[in-house]
Amino acid sequence: MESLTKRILAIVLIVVIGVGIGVGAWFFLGGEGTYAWSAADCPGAPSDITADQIIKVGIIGDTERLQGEGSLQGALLAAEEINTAGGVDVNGTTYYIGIVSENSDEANPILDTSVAVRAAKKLIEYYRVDYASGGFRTEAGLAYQDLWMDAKIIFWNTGAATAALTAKVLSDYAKYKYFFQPSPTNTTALAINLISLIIGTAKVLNATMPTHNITRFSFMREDLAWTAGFASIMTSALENNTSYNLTFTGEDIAFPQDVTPVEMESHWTTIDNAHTQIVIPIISGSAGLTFATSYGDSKPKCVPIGINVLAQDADFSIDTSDRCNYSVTLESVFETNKTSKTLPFWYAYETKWSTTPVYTATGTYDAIYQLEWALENGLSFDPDDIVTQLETLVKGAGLEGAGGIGAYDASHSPVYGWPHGMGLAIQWYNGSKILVPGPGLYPSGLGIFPGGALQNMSPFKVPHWGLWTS
Amino acid sequence: MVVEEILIYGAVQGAVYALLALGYSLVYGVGGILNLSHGAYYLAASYAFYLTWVIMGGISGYFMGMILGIIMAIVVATASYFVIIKPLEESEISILIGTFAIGFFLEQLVIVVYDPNFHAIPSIINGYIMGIVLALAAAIFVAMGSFYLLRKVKRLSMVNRYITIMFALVAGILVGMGIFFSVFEVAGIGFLDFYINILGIALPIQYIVIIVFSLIVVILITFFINKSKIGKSIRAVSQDREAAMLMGINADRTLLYTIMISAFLAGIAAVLYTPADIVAPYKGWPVLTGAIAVVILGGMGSLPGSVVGAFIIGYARIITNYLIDPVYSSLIPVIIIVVILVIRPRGLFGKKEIS
Repeated sequence: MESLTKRILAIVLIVVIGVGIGVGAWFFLGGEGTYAWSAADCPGAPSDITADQIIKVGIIGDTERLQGEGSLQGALLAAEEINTAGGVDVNGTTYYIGIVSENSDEANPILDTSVAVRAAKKLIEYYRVDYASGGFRTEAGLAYQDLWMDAKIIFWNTGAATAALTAKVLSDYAKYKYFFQPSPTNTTALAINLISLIIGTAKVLNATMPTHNITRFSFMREDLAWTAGFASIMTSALENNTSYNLTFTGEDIAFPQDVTPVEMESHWTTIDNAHTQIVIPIISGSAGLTFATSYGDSKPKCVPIGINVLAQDADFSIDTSDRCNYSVTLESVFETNKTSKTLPFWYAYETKWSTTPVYTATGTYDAIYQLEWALENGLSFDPDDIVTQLETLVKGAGLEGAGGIGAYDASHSPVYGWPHGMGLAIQWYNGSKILVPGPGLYPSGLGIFPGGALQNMSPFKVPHWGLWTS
Repeated sequence: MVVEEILIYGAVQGAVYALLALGYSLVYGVGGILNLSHGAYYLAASYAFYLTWVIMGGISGYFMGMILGIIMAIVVATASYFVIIKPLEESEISILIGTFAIGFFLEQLVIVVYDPNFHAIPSIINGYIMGIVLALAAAIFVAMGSFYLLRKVKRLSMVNRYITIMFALVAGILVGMGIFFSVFEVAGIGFLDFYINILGIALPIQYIVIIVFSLIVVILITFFINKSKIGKSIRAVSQDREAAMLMGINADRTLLYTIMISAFLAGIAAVLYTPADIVAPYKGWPVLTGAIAVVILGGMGSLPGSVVGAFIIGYARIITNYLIDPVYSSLIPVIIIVVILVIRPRGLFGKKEIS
């Protein structure tokens, strides 16, 4: 009898919770009313503004994690700056940028794209946003891309690098023309950027360590669809470069997301046995931490130069207990004069958020400024007019942002190359990030940096345990 | 070179799995419970260790973190017993769901209360500490062996008994000290080195400690189960719960002790393995699935089976890494398990009672 009572109670409890969740979901997803926008959503705006004065922008991303947090903070900073400076003037009327955000949980290693879709739906149906930005994972982006497009909401993707998202702009322009990617550069451009970085670094190393003959490279990458093609493109380009030939050791280690530390250790042994001098990581997820800690522990005679998204975190050195030292990654922004807006952005971000910006922060920051520019120049809120306006940002005629001169190609991908989309080479050293000679940046006499000398650049640091000689 | 690497890394991976799976198997053997909160014990220990180290800092924070980590695992396990396992003991499926909920709850608690990001703890296990660990292990084994032999000698007077104990302890300490210093002489490593060269492979000393501890724990648990009063109760309950109760054994309390031991083992695994791994909210799940895989393969409730299963899974993963493709390192062990289960559904050493 007692058992039966418990069962009945359990069933009642489950039903109550289920109904509660259902009603809540129905309410928040637009079943009942919409969000009441107010001055509280517009940082830096006067407190007496009305809802019709608000340009409603939604930020989607994993706001509990580094990437999404950066997206939101970058957008809030830009909104505050614009609003404090007097707002956005469209046809003589002043408007203010309002920001809301939804957590898409898309940086979760166990990705559930339905969470990301629900977040996008809530921004569209409940918050009724006019414009949106953010994103991180390609899979999530693909899941909610159509929602923005069907609602004719201009979406600035500032997280996912794959070309699969912007390729749709070319294949079905009428539907996907509202999709823009101010940063990061797409995978092809990223590969070119990385190739340039590796060749540049090899040249710098050879100039400083002529007896080592730095030529041998290997890959350590997550087993994801894009990393295989990426490694293949890079191998071909690095082995057949006209200015400097590198040699592939044959070690292309693709590991699953759940790689164990012991397995990572064994991978480093393999890499070291191949006398690798440059190891190229292509890692966007949590394995980046295992990779870096294991590198610092095992001290193979090589230097990692490549993509490790987690390494962009200002706390990465703390999180790895300094084991990430000597790792080099590409970052869209650093405390340097990449553009005239970079340093002011950097310092303002540090002051406001007590941390340094990652690429998603730079992306949404620049996206909000592009929105302001498009509205003020196009004098219209119509999404088609804004698309027309944004499409005038082309190579040689872009809009200066913190991450570079913003310009788009036909697929609405960022234009690659200086002074547009280009990564800076950042090396971890003694618990801090330092800017080192990278793609096209050769202050040591090997070339001339097209934009002039960059501030705060340091020489490349060689691991104190040395590199292999080939 | 590949063979040596497989041998060594497989042993390390197997040792880790053995630590994780032993407790899981023990609980199943006694309570017939598939405890899905086992990963939560690991997670609790891992975060308690990490946070203590972050807050206190330094060596003291590190070792305090290790102790608090193990305690936290036991606290969570005890709570899971009183909140879920005991009230729902009549329904296996309810326990299954309830313990799963604990794992999920703790993961979300970490995300909400602390953060969802990944962190790491450095290894401080250098040659010096490894020497101490090995010396202590040797001392314990020699002393235990001496005590065991002592029990066999019936006609020893009380005075001679104490004298013999003293000699056993001294012998243990001497052997331990001998090993402590020979570690550096024979292996050729420095006091401050974090790596040791074995068969031409530079291996983190942390991994040596994991192997040694895994070995110690397996032996101690076996000894404990066979010789102690609680261990005998555990065996009795696992063999026949009702008969054990008729003999005056409190089966509920025995299950509680078993769960606490299981959490203790998960805690040890966490504080030893976390410095090589990362601290992340989702970490409880791979631990749980790894433990389940090992226990299914070795045989539910079988301690030798858990150890053998752990090394089979460990070696399967490493062999896959080297000879097939790292991408399949999670898949191949699953295939092995399926094949074994088809051939022998009970697993390799599966029996009802704890062996």
